[in-house]
Amino acid sequence: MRAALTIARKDLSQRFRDRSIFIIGVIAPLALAFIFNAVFGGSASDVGETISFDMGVVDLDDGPISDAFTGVLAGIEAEGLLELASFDSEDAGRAAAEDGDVGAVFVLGPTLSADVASGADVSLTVVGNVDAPTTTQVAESIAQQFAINVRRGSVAAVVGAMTGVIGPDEIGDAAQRAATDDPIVRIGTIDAASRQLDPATYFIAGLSVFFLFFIGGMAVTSMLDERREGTLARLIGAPVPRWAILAGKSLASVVVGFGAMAVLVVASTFIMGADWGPVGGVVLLVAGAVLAVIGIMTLVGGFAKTAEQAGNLQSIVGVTLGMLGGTFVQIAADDGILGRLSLLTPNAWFLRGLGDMRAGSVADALPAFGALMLMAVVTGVIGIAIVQRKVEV
Amino acid sequence: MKSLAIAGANLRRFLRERSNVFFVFILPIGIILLVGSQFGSGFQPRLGIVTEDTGNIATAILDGLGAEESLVTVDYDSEESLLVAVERGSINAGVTIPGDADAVVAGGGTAEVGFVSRPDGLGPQMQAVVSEAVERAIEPFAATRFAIGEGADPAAADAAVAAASSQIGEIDVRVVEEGDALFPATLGQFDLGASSALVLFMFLTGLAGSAAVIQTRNLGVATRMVGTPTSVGTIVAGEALGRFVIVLVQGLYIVAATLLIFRVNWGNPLGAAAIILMFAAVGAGAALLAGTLFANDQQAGGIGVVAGLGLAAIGGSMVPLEIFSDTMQTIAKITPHAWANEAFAELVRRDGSIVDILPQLGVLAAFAVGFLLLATWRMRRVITTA
Repeated sequence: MRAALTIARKDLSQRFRDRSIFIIGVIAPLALAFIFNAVFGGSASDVGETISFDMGVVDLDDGPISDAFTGVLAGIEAEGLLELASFDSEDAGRAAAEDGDVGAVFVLGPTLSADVASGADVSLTVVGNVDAPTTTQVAESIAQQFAINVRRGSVAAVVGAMTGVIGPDEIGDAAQRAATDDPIVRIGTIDAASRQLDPATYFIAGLSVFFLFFIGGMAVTSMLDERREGTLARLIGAPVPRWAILAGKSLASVVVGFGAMAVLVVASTFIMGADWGPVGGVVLLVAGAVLAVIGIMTLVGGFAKTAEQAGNLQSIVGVTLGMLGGTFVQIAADDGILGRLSLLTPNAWFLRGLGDMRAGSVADALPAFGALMLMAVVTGVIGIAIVQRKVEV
Repeated sequence: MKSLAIAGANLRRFLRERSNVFFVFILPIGIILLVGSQFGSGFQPRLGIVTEDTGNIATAILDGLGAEESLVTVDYDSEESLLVAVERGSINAGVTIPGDADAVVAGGGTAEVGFVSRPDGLGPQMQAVVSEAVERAIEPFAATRFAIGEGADPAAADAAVAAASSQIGEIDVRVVEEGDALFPATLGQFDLGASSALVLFMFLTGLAGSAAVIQTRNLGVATRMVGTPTSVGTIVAGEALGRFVIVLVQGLYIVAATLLIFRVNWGNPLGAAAIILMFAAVGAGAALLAGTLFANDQQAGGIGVVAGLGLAAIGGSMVPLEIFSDTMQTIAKITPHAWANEAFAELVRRDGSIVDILPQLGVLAAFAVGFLLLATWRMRRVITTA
């Protein structure tokens, strides 16, 4: 045990003297998360704000139906949700949409009211600017909603007329009353907590684990280095139990991994406003992630003969797992192939654990912690068995 | 001639490293596949449904949602499982259809269909689609209730509603689009991701090459070369040429592979070739400059990854520039990536030719020349000072 600790201490001081560990373990993830958040974070954080849409209307009809429609629009404008412009001709309206002066224009044709009254097929036109898809979509929904109400009113009035409770000359009035009648079904929203992380936390959490792979492989690479330099043979010759060599080196990796993650969690909380969640849960997940990454990297390094080979193999595995785990491109957690593959990575479980704590408490992180520990144990045991054989010189 | 020999030695060193095959040839295709499959077309939002009822109104709503072509419906057993699925993001939104809708409506009340989505994501769009489908589905029930309220006999109203509905014309909402689309509908699933990944990887490979430059320097090879009748300019030219060929080969390979595998449209061939040539020069220049700036290859590796991914993110290689804020669009201009991405957008999305992208090519050339001049100046300092 003493020997393992001595080796760990020696490895640690060696690594701290090499500045690249700070660059890879701390500065790189922080810098990248900062950039990603600046570039991609903005669009997502706007969602909660009230946005006002620029729309226009061309009223060629000037009848009861078009009045009702412009009334609806004026109501929405009064709520501050849209800014409405009026155009005299269809050409002027279309030109405004084409130039992007407004995102979408409603065109109410000259025979709109007459056609609705006679029960003919009618179309409301929404001219949208191609690069304002959201405004166009909102405009389409407003028009759809109006069209549905008008039609429902007409159908109701006609049913009234057919059953003899509404006179032929009252149909128009009745249709308007029916269109504004109490709804029979309402859409009520149910609150869902999001189990998804905000962009700042997502980026820094994903990148921390991604770069953890590059510092977690050092136990094996440093042993292979010692073998090349002949110091491993000397260690074996010394009164040091063989297991203590790998144990000491792995312990150094665990300390470095924890240290880097701790610095990242604290630094990102203060610098980027990241919100990692309850401390207890974060500690569990970080422990799981550090051990899982070191386990995987030990296993991967075990297949290499030289330190360079091990480093290259480890980078390949680290980058692949990082990609599948959603570090750069978020992978939807569905039952598709990618969604399932992504659950083979510690990266995805770490992010899922942090996300699940959003909707609840520390206990919600336990399944993710369990998955991470399972990966750590399985890969660690096999990895140690393989690497241990390299100590038999 | 000497430059060619130096370049050749560099290439041989590069090819002997087998892991390069993964990073240069396999990874980019994997990423393009990944991005295309997550963001490409063919995406249909998923709507989860929980229903406790088989009454008339519930059945009509179910049928209406099922007929909605813009989404896929998935059945759930309970509101709890629906909620977790929405929160995790396995479905985009969920709907609960109440068990007592028929009775509530008959009693003059308002039945409530529950809608759930995450605060982020596609919620508002899905809600609009759901609400339209529901409103359409309940039209006959609303019409009957109105007539009954006016004094009609319920049985007579029920009998009349189908005829009334067919008598009233459809009110159709037609959407037309005006203007030139930034992302035309003809854009293939992998088109957008392919060109931005190309730019990202060419630059990253360039920067990764700085490690070799540092080795040449640190092993004293460069210093010894200067000791022979070889100028610093020749050494820089040779090293740059080696990097240039590697980056260029990767670029051409990505174009060829994505053309064959994903049928990616790269636009005007002459224009695309010009961008790739220029960008390979930029990547080579950046490799040389980075190779003269850092002390050892671990440092260059760490900072190279950060710089390569960071500049790519800022330059619109991860998310298209067009959806950046105005400030970020301006900042993006400091990266060569932004200019290359803009040039590809011109070729692929707006059917431009090489003439249309001359300004972007000019800026890229300036980047390449600037990097190489700085690298030559730095190289002279680092190999002639002990």
